[in-house]
This record gives sequence, C-alpha cells and structure tokens, in this order.
Amino acid sequence: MSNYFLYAEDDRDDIDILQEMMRKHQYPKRLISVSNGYLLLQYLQQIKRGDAYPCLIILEAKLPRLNGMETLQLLKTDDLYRLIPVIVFSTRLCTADKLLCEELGAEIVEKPTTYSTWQNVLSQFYTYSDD
Amino acid sequence: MGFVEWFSLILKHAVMARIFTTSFEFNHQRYDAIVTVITNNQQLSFNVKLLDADLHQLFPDGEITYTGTDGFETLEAINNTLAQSLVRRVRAAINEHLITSQ
Repeated sequence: MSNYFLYAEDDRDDIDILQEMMRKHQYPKRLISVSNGYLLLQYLQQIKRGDAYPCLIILEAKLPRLNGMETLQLLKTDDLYRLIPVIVFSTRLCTADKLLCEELGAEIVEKPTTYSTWQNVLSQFYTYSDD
Repeated sequence: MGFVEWFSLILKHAVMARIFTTSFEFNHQRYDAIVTVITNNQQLSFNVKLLDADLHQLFPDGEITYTGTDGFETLEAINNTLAQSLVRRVRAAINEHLITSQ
C-alpha cells in the first residue's frame, strides 16, 4: 500500500499547513506536493511499474497551467489513474464542479481556513488510507 | 471534437485510455502538451491538449485530435502550413512515447 498523499497546490502556505498538521498528529503518511495539474500528471508518469501510486490525490481547484477540475477529468480518463481516490479543494463550491466531481467519483470539499476545519479535512484524508 | 465530447466518448464506451505529458520545440520555443491515447478495436485515437495560449491561435482551444491504426498515419491536409508544422512537431514528440511492436 502506498504511504503518501499527492497534493497539487500553488500556495506554499497551504502545503506547509497541511504538512505541519500531519506532523503534529503523527500521521504515518508523507505529503508530496506539486504546484499545478500538469506537474502532477508528470509526477504520476515517472512512477515506475511496480512502484506505488499515491493513496490519495488532493487537487486545488484553481491552479495555473492545468486547473484542478481539468486535472481530475484527465485522471479519471486514464485506466491506471482512475482508481486513485481524489479530493478537490475549492474555496467556493459551485454546483457545476460538485456535479462533475459526483459524476467522476471524486469528493469536493471547501478549502479549510481554520485549525479545526483543517483537522476535519485531515481525518477525511485518512479514510482513504489503510492505516 | 473538444475535450468534453472526447471525455464523454471514453466514459460511454469500454475502451482503453492512457494519458501522458510530453514537450516539443516549435518556433525556437519549448511547449508542453497533454496527450490522451484511446485504443478501440486496435485503432488508436489521439487527443492533444496544448497548454500554451500562444498556440491556441493555430488550433482553437489548443486541441488537436487525430485517429490512426498505428498512430503514424499522415494527417489529412491542413491548409495552414504553420499549423501543419506544429502538428508535425507534436506528433514527433508523441511518437517518442509510443511503444511499437514488430
């Protein structure tokens, strides 16, 4: 089983917060981050046969170059990547994005802004791991 | 065919699909593209998404779609020679990713 989350996020502060939360709660997973959807696809592409894919992909909805929703569509197109669970972070939940996520079997959650909401979201991430 | 239609096609039909990223040089600049390859009854279909907006004047929405039994067939004639040149570069980059069998 893979032991890491893959997070596409262009805001360094958000990556640091999540990393810090995981450290603080001693979650036994690593966090690997990339700054846009294109780099996330590149990251997955370089994973060699036999090596583990992430147990969860977290996508910020608004990303430069290739945004979260476009990346989600591409991931769910691919026969190897479509089974990896995906959570989309959005600062503003809109109906179209919600419907698309539902159709594609991904979750969309409001991006946390406080310590307690980060905690809630983090526990949600761990439902996708085997630990 | 745009990406949304392309994507619906994949969902509706039981076909094999893979995606990969590639880059190519055009007009002395490096560009990135995302390629979706669909295999259906031994026919390969390619959808190329060009990420850089300055190429979108050659292809609306930066998308190129073509089909071929081996992925190397000559494209139907495109009147714009600059677009033809771009397609040649893109296809050369894609072909480097394809595994050919004898």
